[in-house]
Amino acid sequence: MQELVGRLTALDPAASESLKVVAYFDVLVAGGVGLQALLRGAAVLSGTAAGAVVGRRTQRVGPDGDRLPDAVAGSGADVAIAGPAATDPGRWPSRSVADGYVWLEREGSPHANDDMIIERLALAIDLVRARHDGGTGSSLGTLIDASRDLADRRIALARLRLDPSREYRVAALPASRDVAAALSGGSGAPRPPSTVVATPYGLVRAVVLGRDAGIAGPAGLGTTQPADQLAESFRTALLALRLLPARGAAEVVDAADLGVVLAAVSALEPVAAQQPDVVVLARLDARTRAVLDELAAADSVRAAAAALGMHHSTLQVRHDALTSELGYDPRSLQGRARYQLARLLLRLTESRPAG
Amino acid sequence: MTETVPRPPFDPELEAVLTLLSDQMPMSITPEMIPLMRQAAPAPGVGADDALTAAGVVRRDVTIPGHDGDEIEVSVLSRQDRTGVGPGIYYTHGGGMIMGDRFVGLDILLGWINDFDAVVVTVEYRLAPEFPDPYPVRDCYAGLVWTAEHAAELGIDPERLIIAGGSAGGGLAAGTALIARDEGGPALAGQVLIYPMLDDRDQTVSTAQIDGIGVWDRGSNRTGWSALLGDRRGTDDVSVYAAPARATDLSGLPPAFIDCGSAEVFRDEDVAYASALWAAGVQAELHVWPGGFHGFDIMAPHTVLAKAMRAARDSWIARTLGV
Repeated sequence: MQELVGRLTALDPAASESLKVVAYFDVLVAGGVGLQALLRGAAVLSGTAAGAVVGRRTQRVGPDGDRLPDAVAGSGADVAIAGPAATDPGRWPSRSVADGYVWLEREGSPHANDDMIIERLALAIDLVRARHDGGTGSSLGTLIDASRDLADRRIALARLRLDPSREYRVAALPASRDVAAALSGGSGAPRPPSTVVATPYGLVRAVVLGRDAGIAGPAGLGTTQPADQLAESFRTALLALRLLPARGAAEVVDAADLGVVLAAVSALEPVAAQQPDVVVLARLDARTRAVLDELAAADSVRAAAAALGMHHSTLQVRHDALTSELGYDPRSLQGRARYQLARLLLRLTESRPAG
Repeated sequence: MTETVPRPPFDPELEAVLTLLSDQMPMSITPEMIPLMRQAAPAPGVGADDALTAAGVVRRDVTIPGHDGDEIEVSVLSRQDRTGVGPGIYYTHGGGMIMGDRFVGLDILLGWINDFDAVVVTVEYRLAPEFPDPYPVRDCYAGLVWTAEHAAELGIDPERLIIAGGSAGGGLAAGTALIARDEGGPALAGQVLIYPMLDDRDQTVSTAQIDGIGVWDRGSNRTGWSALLGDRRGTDDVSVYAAPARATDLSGLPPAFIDCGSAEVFRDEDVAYASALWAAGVQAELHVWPGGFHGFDIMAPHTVLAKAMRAARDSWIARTLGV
């Protein structure tokens, strides 16, 4: 009964309610709503106007859910239209989406949930557009989908204005990353095609890069491929992303650096969780794993001890105990390979990139 | 409770709202909860005056004779600067027959007052279970009679007086209109039945579908009807004024506007009531909003469906009142 629960109002300006924000947009996305409904959600939850520039369209919605004029009114008295410059992303807290950006028209200090609302709004817009409008997102989705035939991928290339005779690589990012921030190139450069795709490991953002372009971590970089073979690049990028050492690490794992190791972990993934070498690592705590990482990587036990801030004789004792626990010496030639492979497989079994 | 029956899905925008609000309400209201739920609600009118002032609306409380001559209260609401004679809306609030006060749904009333320059009379009928049937509907009827008798003083054109109510208030509005017809009471230019609660028998498909889900589910609805009717609920001993769905003769009733959601308990009884009105030769307009839960226009006013619902309703009222 409505009088028991009142009505949906803006979230607490001071308390973080991330779960509510995530839940709200998740339901909208699952229901396949359009851009307007997403903006209404952002506006009602934040209690202030929300806007989006997508392609060439500007849309703004007030906290009551009503559409507002495309241009932001000046903060003065009457409805002085300030012109397109008022939707400048620099004026409000904003975030990029494929083909544009979104913002919240927050006057004064930000509220506790503003960042989360903008993040989820941007993510939801990319997802919904990828599904609906046959634009960048949907074309890119086709391009990196191995189940689509070559003719479809060629059409997608044309739509994305990618050169079919060139080679590209796909980067996989946690879905919530801001593409503009991840790209190291100058702000004047055209933004590469990007979309969010649903994978068995959660939502992942895919970005098509030139073969020599860089990207800031956390990211997985796929192998370089001909333009019509980018599904393979995305597959390796996704693997690389899942091989990132720890959630939140600002590293880039480059599939090209892994070579045959990538092929090995990919082939072994279906049985990884049952491998005794993986099972034994899974039982260890984070600190013990860090000790093993250092032992396997360092030139000497003494160097590993220094890196870990331990006395070398203490580490030596630890090394002996761990060798016995693992059933092999992670510092022997064979043991290092064995440890590295088990370690990577463990990351795959544990990886669930945060949306 | 498990879902055993397929049901229409909620509209995604409404479902998102439900996701956030569901932890603030019990899924199913049981009789033991009635006192607690009333306690949790603010006293009548608290908070209302701020909203009234902000909307430029003045309120005058009047004590009038209710059922059996007992005293009840009504509030007369109108624009501050209002003069002359114009449309009147007599309002019966919602709350499952067991809760709420005459300011429930005030936001909607304020819209009517401002958009149509209407005078609204909203009645504080007595609630079940302390005051079971026929108190609620007879208090409502007494308020309608008082309103019509004082039309001139209130600035209401008697030709342009309609009755409106939501949820339990929709059922009470329909019941009040039936009494007015049968007892030669005030003539009504229309009845606005907003997702009305009409049927105590608990036998529709929609009540089976909305069980342990949504807003005002089957269990809550049984609680409301049991409070109103006691052991008579679902038996032959229930008057058509308490449960208008039982009326077999709907001829001679005023034109009706009925709306509801497709995902609420009241859907089937509301659709059936519209059909029965048409069968009796009465004009009726029916809107079933897809994926709407009970009261979604109030709980989720920013959504596209809520805006469409209110626009359709307001359009009917404007046509009916000739404004």
